[in-house]
Amino acid sequence: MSSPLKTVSIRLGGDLGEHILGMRVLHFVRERYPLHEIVVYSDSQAASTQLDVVALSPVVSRVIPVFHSDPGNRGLETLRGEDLRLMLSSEQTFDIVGDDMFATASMMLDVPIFEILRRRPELVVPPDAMQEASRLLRSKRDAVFVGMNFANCGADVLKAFEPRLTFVLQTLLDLPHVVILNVFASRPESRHRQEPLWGQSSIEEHTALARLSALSDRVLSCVDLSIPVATALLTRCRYFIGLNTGIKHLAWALGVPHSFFQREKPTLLAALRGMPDLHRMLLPDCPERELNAHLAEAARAVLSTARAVENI
Amino acid sequence: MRISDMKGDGSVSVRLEGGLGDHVLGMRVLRFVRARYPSHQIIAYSDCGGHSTQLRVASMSPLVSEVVPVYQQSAPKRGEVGTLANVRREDMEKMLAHDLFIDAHGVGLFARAATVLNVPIFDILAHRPELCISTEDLQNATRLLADHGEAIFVGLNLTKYGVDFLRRHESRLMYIPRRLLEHPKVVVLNFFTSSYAFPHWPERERALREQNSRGEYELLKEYCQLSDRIVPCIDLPVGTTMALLRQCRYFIGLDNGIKHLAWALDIPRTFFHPGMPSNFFVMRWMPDFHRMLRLDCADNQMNRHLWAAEKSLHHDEAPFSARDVM
Repeated sequence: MSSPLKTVSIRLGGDLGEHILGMRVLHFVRERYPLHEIVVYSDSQAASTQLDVVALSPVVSRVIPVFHSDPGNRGLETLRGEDLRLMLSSEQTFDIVGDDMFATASMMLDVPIFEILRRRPELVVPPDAMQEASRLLRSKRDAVFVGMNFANCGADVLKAFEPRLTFVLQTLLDLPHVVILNVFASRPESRHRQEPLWGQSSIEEHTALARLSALSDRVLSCVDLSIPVATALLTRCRYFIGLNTGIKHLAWALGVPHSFFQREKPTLLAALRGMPDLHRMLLPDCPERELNAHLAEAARAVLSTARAVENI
Repeated sequence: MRISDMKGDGSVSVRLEGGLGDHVLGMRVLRFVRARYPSHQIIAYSDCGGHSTQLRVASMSPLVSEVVPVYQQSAPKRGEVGTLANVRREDMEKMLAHDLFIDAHGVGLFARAATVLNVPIFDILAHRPELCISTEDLQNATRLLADHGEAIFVGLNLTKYGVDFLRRHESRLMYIPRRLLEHPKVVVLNFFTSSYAFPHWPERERALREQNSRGEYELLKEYCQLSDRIVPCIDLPVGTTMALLRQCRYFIGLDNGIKHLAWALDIPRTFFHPGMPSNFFVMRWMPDFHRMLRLDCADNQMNRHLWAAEKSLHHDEAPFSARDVM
């Protein structure tokens, strides 16, 4: 009888985006422990979005939700005793929750910190999710898809971006064959948060997002999709445009060329923590030429023809 | 001129600032400038109070056409070191006269450059700068190592915190070199200077650091008496230092400019740091944080680094011989 596999445990926390960013470390854990079972403990109040995205990693054997005795605290010290014991029973534990930006992990793994930070996590979309994506897009066989996600940030934020957003969408729709996939959830899952982000009002937001889909019959609402299906759709996109959300992080992880709007300039540390793709950020009041440079890149990605770029 | 309009054989200016380490770290951006502007000249403006070491290291980049020293208007105040605000007006005008100006000041961590160059910020931060060593420096290194034909070289540099620090932590700082010297072929190259100037620093810190530098000299010379296989490498030009470092299989040091050279050359290494640096400090100055040892680290951590050093010395390639230089 073969001996059971040794395990390495990794705690990831926060929302979808934080989970994806935390998953950057997985490749290096696998390299350092090629024969160990990698078990991820998802510290997100068992939010299915986070559990699902971790399950897309080809190097993770199991995903286990963990809980806190004090839900307002994300520290290890308030983790439920049984969860903590389970996590620490592994041969090695990596705690990726918090602000140390892989500094501890880089030492434990003997890997340069910036190599971890620059890494995009591997995500493998299961065949049934790919099939579901194909089914959703079957009526758009000749389309060139552009992903979009402006959800989970509140109607007021959407309003702030509206003029520029409408301009961007209309410019993209001027390109032949472009179909925009407007990905959003009717009830964003944010159980790990005590307070809604930026005072969001999901009904108003939902209405505003639905309005964006009404701009053209080539804007498709993709509502309440599972993470594997949303990921499968994103793999079909030649470009992505959105806010700095979890779905945008998915697009980043998949290497989909993208632009994202950010309400205000982040601090340097906030940018380093949450925006490995800072170079693709646009502020609402950015100069027009910056916006046009992004649009030109979108056109290049979508059509790969000089003609389209000139049109922009 | 707008960046997007730049097409032809213009020029891009890049300001490097601070000490040797700051310059080396700032030079990470050069490759990305070259990739974005393949036909442009890249002019490096070295804001280091005219220090020859920084000017020389900037000129070792194969991507830089010219290195121009620039100066601060007055000695910077604490917290102002390296900021653009204090650069002489005529120097600012020179730097801004190019098609594009990139400030590689470490405090910004290339956030602006990443956007301007359309490159992921961590790609810049992870990149080691390219450095070309001149034939003359290689020849100097060959000459200096001529007596150590079959040696396996290990670099050592312990200058930074002063003589009291060295005395207090000597057993830890010298633990790995001592253990490596148990191997009869190992020769330790002990790099230090008889004095070193810090013209880009505020008056008080400058005086303290220069005093530290002078004080360390005698003690570091004494370390060379510990074994006839610890070779003093004193007051060498930065190019020759690099040529010697390149021959080292391992490097042991502190978080200073010479350690950053070893990092740029990808020499396997260990460096010591007193205490735990802040997150920002790591981001700004320690791309090789994973090779840091705290002075109060556990013995097993020290031994892990020793094991890594021993592994580097005995890797499968043919052992280095001084005759291989050139």
